[in-house]
Amino acid sequence: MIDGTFFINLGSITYAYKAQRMLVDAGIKASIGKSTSKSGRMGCSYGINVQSSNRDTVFRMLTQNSIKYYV
Amino acid sequence: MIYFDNAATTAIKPKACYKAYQDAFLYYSGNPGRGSHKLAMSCAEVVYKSRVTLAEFFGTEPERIIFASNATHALNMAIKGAIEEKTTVITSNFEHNSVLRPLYRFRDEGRIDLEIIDYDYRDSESFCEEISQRIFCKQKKYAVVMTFTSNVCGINLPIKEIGEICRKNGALFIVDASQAAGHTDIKLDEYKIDILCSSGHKGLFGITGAGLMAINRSYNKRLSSLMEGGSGVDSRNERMPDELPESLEAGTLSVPAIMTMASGVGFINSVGIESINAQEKSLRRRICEGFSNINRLTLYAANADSSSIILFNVKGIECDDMALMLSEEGICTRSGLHCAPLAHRALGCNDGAVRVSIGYFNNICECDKLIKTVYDISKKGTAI
Repeated sequence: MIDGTFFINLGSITYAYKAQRMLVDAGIKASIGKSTSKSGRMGCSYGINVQSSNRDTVFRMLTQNSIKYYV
Repeated sequence: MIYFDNAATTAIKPKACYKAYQDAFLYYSGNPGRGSHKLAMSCAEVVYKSRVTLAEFFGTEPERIIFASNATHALNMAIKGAIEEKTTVITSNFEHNSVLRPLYRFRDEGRIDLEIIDYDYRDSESFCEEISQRIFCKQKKYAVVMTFTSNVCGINLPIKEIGEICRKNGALFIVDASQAAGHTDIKLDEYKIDILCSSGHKGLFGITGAGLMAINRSYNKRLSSLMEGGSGVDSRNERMPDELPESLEAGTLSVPAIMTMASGVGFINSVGIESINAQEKSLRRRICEGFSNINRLTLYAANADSSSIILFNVKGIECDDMALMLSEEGICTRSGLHCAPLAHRALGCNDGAVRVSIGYFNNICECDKLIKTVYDISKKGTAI
């Protein structure tokens, strides 16, 4: 994993795309990923791989846009 | 063939929709939201993009677009998922059976009280006043389920006014926009609609099997699911996931239906919904004028604010015979009760009538051919 890259579990594929679009529009690199059935909350889920040194900003943006995430 | 049955489904679609249909088979044949390989992910992306297009079209968020297989499916999801027990549900006599039958069932099971209010298009103020008077008791729960445009004669019900009444009184407002979507610009907030249901294969130009429910940003109650099953996520959960849209979309989505519907909306946006509406109204006017010169022909609700539907009968000729004779001349119309018997009763054609439903791809020549053919049939009676 590239330094500064982290995965955010967003539950659904729809929210994963919504979050990705929002972050990319803000100039933050993000790609869709699937979390494994082991790491997912209740099995498979989707999220985003984010490349950013500022985690707080990313999580704040998600919250501001009513995108629920799971940590 | 001349196609005047666009209220049933649009048989002629924009070129972009044919392209989308082909692309769906050639390039998007995977299962969206299932797995993480390239094909599944590209399908998921195209489905998401379609949600964005439709969400912008109706003025909501992408996750609040719920895909369905038709308007009936969407209306069943909305009615059975959002209307709580012991609610008084108000509806009109211009509803399609896709609204009436789920409501009749709930009424018969004792879950709701059902009140059907007669709508007179010449006096919509009284209709609104009556609804306003019925939604008065703060201790009771109310919901209004209503069509935007009648599938029988094309009259528009006063949805904006009803939306205001519902919002003011805290009543749930579900709208059947099957005959309005793609003909009228509908933003959920502007009309105070909580849940809009529509087919996607009529004015939105998708293939049959396309439908949707659009939920207002301000509506935050959880809808109970109509169907349960695979959602691609949360597999250990015994229940459907919490988040929209997956909470209501059990099973594999129809990528061709979704892609064609979104392409149809792209076409509508490029042409302009006002232009579409103006063209359809102009053709409707032409046919109404032509029909008005035919003896024994009755036009129903001809003077109403209607964009694209004409309903008529010719005295002495059964409506089914008329539709059959038009079909023999290569003209597609629809006869009968159009799954909306109460509307026919209200219009004074209890035994049915012939419906001509105009689409954007109809033209003046087709209208003139229709007028002449109906004229010829009416002159010859059933002997043609």
